[in-house]
Amino acid sequence: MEIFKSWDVIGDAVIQRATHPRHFGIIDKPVVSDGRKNFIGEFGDILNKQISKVNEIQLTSDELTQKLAVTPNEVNIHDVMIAAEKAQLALNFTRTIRDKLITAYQTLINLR
Amino acid sequence: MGMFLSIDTSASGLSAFRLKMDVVANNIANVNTTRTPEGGPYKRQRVVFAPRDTKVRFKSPFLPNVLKPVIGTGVRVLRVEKDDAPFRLVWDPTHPDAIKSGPKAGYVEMPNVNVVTEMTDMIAISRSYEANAMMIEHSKSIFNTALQIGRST
Repeated sequence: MEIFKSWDVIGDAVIQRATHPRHFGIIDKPVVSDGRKNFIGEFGDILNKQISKVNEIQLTSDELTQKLAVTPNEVNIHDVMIAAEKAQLALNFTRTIRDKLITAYQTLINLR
Repeated sequence: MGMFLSIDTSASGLSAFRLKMDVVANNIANVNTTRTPEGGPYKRQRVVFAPRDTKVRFKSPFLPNVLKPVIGTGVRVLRVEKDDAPFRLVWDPTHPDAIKSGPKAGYVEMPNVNVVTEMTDMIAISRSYEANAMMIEHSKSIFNTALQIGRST
């Protein structure tokens, strides 16, 4: 039987966090009660996932550019340009998010 | 709805019109071709477009997803079909492919390609291509405008 604190319960989803693994109840991931399996997860995990997605976009663009150089008849020029633009937009987005994160961190650091 | 849905949609338009341009180029190049592997003169080719549908469709009316209005994801080329319009007849008895006998003897069947039609098609295609490219450009600027919201602190 698990005992949850009242602030860990939102609706029927229960979130339990351990700030340190040596603390009681070693649970790294948020616990979700039955019925709601689609709990999103930690912000860091989401961020990492998104960054790897951005990396995938960059790799696609790279691959298309190489194809254009090696076998120019097999790719459309607009596909290459669009992949490059997508890569740039995704990178811009990532940069904006990173700037936001750093701003948030600095705000927290300068509390005193 | 993804991050780049409108860009992908416009990209499909770019590919489709690019192919249509290739077909028009082929038609113009073959405007005087009187001999083809399947026999007879060259037949003009046309491109048939259809909306692109990435989702699986069921015919059952009881599935709720069927009724949902979904944004399309662009265009695709269904097929390249041949135009069955009658051939042009040109009087040229010395031509090697001239009709030897019958009421049309002495005439040569020329492809049913009208260069003027192909040229107007070409202009329309190049404008459509431009429109799709413009669409991508504006999707980009919308994306960047949205990013500006986060940047201005």
